[in-house]
Amino acid sequence: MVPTTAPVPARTRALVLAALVPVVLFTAACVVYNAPASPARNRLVGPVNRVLEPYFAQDWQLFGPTPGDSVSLVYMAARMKTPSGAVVETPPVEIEDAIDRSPQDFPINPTKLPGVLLAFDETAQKYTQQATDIKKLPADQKAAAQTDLDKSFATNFLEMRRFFSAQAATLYPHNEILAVKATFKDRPIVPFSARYANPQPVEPTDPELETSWLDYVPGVAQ
Amino acid sequence: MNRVTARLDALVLRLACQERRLIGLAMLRIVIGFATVLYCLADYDRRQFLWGPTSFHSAEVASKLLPKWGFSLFLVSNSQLWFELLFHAVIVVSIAFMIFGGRALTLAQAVLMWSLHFRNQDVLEGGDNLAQILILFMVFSVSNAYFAPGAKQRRARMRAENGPTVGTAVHNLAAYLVVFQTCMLYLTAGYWKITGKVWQDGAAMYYISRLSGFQMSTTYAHLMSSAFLGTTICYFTIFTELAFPFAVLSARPWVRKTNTLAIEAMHLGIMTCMGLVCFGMLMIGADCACLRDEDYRALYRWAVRLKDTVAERIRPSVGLSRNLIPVTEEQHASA
Repeated sequence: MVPTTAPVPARTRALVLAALVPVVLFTAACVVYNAPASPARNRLVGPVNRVLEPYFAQDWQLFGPTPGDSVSLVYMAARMKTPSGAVVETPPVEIEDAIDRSPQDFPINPTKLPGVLLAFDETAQKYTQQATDIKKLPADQKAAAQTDLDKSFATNFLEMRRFFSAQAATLYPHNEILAVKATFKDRPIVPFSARYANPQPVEPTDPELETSWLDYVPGVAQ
Repeated sequence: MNRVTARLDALVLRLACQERRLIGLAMLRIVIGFATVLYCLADYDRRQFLWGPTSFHSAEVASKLLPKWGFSLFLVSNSQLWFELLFHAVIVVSIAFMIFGGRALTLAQAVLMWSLHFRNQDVLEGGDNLAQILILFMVFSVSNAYFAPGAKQRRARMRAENGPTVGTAVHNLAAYLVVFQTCMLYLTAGYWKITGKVWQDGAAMYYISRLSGFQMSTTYAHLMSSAFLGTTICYFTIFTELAFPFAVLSARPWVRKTNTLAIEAMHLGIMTCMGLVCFGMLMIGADCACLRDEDYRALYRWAVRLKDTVAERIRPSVGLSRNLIPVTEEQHASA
């Protein structure tokens, strides 16, 4: 318990100092990893990433973001076969608002469900941004770039396809669903400066991304 | 050469003679265990949809999204039985970890928690990222020297150890990493906030309160419309986050305690107003690990003094009322 004045055994000294090495390395790597972008950081970040990822990967920008200035909305439509054999399309139904409000059902231990749509919104935003960038490319490069982009987002769209299939099955339980389509939209939040304006300004809802008709996936848990 | 050795020895003795932050780490252990149980129970009815073999987030998708060297035991088999066994094992091990602690249970908790998180990364909240890292450090620390069965004997054994030990040094280094990682988080978060225009304008809380996914009551949204209140909360948040690492290093106990309590109050606000219960809880747990054992002892003494003072103030009136003897009307008249 009490620090002794006797010399430290050589083995203990060596082992403690050996244990200190990874700790010092982690400290240095963590500082570089979390530092804002700079020429110095950019030179070091390659080896640092190799040390910290995946087990010590961290993104604390989540804790200090520029908060979103719009509310995301997701409209889902389904293509179904009626008992008479006719194929019909449902009008788009907004599903995000209800999911976002589901934590209020049990505030003591709220559901994590809104996180799913938050992730989808982020995917839609990233995809739209990159697709917009592709439009600026020379005509002969566009097709290949678009194919690459679709390939890199294939996993995310597979996830969306399954999610929206489950949602459609919940909304239209007695129908033979053939395909689903989602439209991601943004509705800007009334600006802080206009919060007391009367009447409140009506913010336009901008479509961000519309998926193609995605084949219905049966058997997803609801 | 002798001077170098003496300095190294001083460092080794500082690290290896006494385990530090035992109370804070014990509290972190309880919080991580409890938050993981809450995490599982929050969507217990939806477990098939979020993590099961027929989840929208299929095993194929989850495998593709795994980072290099990432793993999830949930992806070992796609059978319903394996999923149910593993999911309930997460709950049982979390409860055991919360109650007993110890290195073996910490390792089991780490493996199962990482597995659950990597099974579906869409439903993580940010605090989970911190918990994933801290639990790895906790494997090397003594987290059951307080608030666990046999804790008193464990502390007695630790006190009986004579001289520097490697185990003590490893514990202290792990405790240092827990504190360092938490400080790094607050410093980074504070930095990003202070460079953000909406935080400088004091309007950040207004916009956050308008996001439907994080709005637990309309009162909260209404209050955040106030320019004064919103700005005060924005600046308070930035100040406490940026000050956190410096407060932890401060030699003045009141600075450490005040800053930690302030940041814990902030997380209580996040839990109640934004509905991020597991996130807020995990952050409070990490904050707890940043206070020293003597800080907790001082807080405990203060709480006992406060209790005694309150009891003393109540006791005389209670005692008087108990000792009162009813006086009859005749006695009153003769008096």
